[in-house]
Amino acid sequence: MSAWLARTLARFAALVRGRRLDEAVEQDLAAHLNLLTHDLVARGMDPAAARREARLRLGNVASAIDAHRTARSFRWLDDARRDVGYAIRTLGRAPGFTAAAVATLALGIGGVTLMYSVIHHVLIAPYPYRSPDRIVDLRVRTDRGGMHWNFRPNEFLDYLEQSDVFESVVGVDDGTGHLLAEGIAENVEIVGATPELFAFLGVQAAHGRWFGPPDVQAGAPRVAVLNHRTWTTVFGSDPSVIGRTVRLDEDLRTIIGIMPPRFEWEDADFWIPVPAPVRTQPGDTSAGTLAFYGRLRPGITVETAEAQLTALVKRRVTLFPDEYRSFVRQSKTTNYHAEVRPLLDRTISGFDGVLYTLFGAVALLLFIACCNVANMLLARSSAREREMAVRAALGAGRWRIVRQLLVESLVLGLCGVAVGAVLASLGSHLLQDWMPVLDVPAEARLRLDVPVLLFAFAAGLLATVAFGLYPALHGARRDLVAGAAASSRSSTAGRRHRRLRGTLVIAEVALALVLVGGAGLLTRSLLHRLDFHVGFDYRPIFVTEFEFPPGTPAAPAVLRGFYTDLLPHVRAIEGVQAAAVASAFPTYGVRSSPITGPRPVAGEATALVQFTSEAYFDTLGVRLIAGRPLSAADVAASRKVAVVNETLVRRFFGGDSPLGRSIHLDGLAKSRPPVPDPDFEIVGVVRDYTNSGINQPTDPEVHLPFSIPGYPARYLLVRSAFPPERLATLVREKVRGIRPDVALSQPGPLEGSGIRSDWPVNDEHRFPLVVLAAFAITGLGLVALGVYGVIAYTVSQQTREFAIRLALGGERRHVAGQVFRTTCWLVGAGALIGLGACLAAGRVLASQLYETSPRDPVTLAAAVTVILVTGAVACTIPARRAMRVEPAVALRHDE
Amino acid sequence: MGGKLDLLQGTLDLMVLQTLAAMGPQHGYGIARRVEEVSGREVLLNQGTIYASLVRLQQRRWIKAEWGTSENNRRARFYSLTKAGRKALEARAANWERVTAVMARVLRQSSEGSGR
Repeated sequence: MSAWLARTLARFAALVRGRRLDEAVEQDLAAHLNLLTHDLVARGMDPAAARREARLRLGNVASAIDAHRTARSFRWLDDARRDVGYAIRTLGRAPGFTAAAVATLALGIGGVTLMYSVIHHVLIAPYPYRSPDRIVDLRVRTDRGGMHWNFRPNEFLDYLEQSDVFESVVGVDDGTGHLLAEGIAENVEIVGATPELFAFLGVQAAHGRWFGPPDVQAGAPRVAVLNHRTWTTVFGSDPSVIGRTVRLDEDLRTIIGIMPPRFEWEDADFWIPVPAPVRTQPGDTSAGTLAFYGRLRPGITVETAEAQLTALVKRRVTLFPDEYRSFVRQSKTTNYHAEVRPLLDRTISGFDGVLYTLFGAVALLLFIACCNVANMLLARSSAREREMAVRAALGAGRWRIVRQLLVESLVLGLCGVAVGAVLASLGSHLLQDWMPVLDVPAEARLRLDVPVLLFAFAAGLLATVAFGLYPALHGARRDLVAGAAASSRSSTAGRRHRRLRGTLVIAEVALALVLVGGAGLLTRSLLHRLDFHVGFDYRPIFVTEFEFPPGTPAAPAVLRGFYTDLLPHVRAIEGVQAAAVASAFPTYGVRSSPITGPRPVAGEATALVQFTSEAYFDTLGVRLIAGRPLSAADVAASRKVAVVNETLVRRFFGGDSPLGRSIHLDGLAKSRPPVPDPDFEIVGVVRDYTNSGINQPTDPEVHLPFSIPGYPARYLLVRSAFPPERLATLVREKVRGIRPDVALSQPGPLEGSGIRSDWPVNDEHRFPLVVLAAFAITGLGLVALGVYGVIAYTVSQQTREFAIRLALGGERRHVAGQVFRTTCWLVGAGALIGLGACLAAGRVLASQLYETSPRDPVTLAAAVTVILVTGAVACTIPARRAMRVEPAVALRHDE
Repeated sequence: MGGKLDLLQGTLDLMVLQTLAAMGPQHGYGIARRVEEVSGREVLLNQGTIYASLVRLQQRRWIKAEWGTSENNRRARFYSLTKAGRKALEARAANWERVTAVMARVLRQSSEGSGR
């Protein structure tokens, strides 16, 4: 080992062995002194004089030890260790302060870390694939909105072979299918892909193997690769599933591998290999189609690829116009172009704006937290004035004191990072389930990984500078005399100090108002969205369809038999209030028929037609106005009876009672299968509920027994208190007892089902509101803490003044009034500035607001009120303390 | 020349090594006394400085320390040269001699130059 290396290692070792090395050198120095004295005495010096002379020659012991330290270690590191140790001891002596500061910082740092984690894992790096930023898909579009992405082999190969922008490509053929295995029937997503899929994505199977080219050769056994999520939920993580043969649609396939978690390519449950495309005769349409995914060569931009492929598309359209006829009505002016779409653009639709807005909001929260901690540190620095003055008097340089205070801040900051990381980790588990599913790639997983932790660390350092630097410089600026006198309450420094703390509170209040205002605007926007009625309480209703295995088509009679068998079992589930089947469900009635009532009406005479079981209205929770609902007997006997809605009665009967009268539904005579003599006797009238879209006028509607063959009743509706996932499991069990090969298809809550965009409220709207509201409440809490801190401090500084005023006959309420005035001034100024900031920041939110102005005066006024009330509440304790000042005690205590 | 000599970086270390080579194992005081005697009291502003040099040399593994008993029967740490220390001393001494020779030549030449 070289001498240099040995020494470097020894210097590091000396960092931790400091105390022992100090003892060693002290022993050396003691022996030295003794020997020297001994020598001097031996030379005839008087012992006392010899001791003195020895001390002189040895020099200052402290500086010898100091030189020893410098030589044996890295001075700055050793000092840093000492500073950190001292900081920890100092902070440990004020546990209340430390806990409050760390908690405050942890909220801020945890918040930004959480949001960064979301942004990182949703927007920046959601995919576990190799170089995901270069993966694109290809579509052909026309300027009139026509779109085409399922390519026949020739077209697929032309784009691949005649362009030079792709490094590799894969063809994908996706669709839903039916999984049948022992004890399992599921509606699953089955994605076919050319054999190079997994190599293309660069992900290894977690168990078993991929498929590859040999698996598509003629005569090769049919195989499938399983999704990890499906493995867990459907197969209960059974490891023996590999090698098992299952039925996927018509084919028996052997499961050869399970992909790792987060591998969700095309949201498939199973990936199956399909042969690579092979050229055919032009015009041959027998071969299947494939969607085109490619990885761009490094350095090729989307624009370059689009330009090149657009030229190719245009050439192909002139060469093979027939191939493009299917998806667009062609004319000479139709303009074709290729669209090359990066992977990430397919899912994120405006959600990035939401996330960045929330990130901005949480950054405000961190600022508020920093203001608060800076405030606390300033308060503490005045309490520690004496300590600083003594240290300065003992020769501590100004830089040394600044450094010490900064190290204390840093220790606080790092504790904040540690606790914040834990908070962010908890929060990311919550948010993972909360994120709107459709806006986020299925592969995205929120977690605290290295980049996120690095961010947290950076945020912590930045925060430390933000909250620690000024108090540190401020603490070191105190001059000796003023400090030692420690009577800042009369000094100009004290006043400056108070003004600074006031400024911090004003800033806090302003920032918090922006948060509260933002949350308020989103709330109001959500209230606007929530302001819709479908005529019943839709929240406890669950809807599912069923899928029968392919090859055993469910004849209407079979389907009816299945429902008739199933319904009693579902109703028997404890906790289920009602269940029914129907051919459609709100908010859209699907089929309609011309209707003939007792008297002619102007305009189009049609009604929506619903085939339902008994208890349909109980399930929806819609009240009957007159007559009776469809009964089990009606259904069992396929009686030609009908329950109609209010609109129908108004339109076709005017003021007359429709009960016992008949309507003719002409459309049913032409339905498949037809209903002979479609005349129905009205037995009941039901209150209107939404049947032609939310916020749209209700259409006339007829409800008929579903045992009459007309339109198939496809949906099971259940009203219960169960969460949808739980109810799906329960229903699945019941189905298994009747038809084990029937699968549930798209089970879920009524809300948001069907045409999702029709529902004005969904996760997409709730998510930013909930997150922002959480931030705003936290921000308010911090503001309350900040206002309290400053006012309490001010009151403690003014105790003497109050005491004198009281002693001179001042009234207690005037004293309290002064405290309130101070608060009002701080909070009012903050609110004013915050209001301006709110108006400016509103523009950022505007795109996420629904029928709400970003300058909505009601909301802003409410936000200001909330802030003012928070301030008032925060100052009550100090104000009461000020009122209770006992002049005699306070004046005596002061010196 | 008044006052003590300003020592170049590493000079004291070399003196300590040479002292240990000449005298064998010594305690800190012995080394300090010897350096003072040999240098005619022109170096060592105060004797405590010697210990910073000793720890540096120890960390380089050029000297090692052991407990022993001093002349007046007190426990004291005795320092001695290691094999690596002896080699380092030889190399440094040779280097030092070359440097001083060169410096001497250079300084003489420049003073002659200014004399003309």
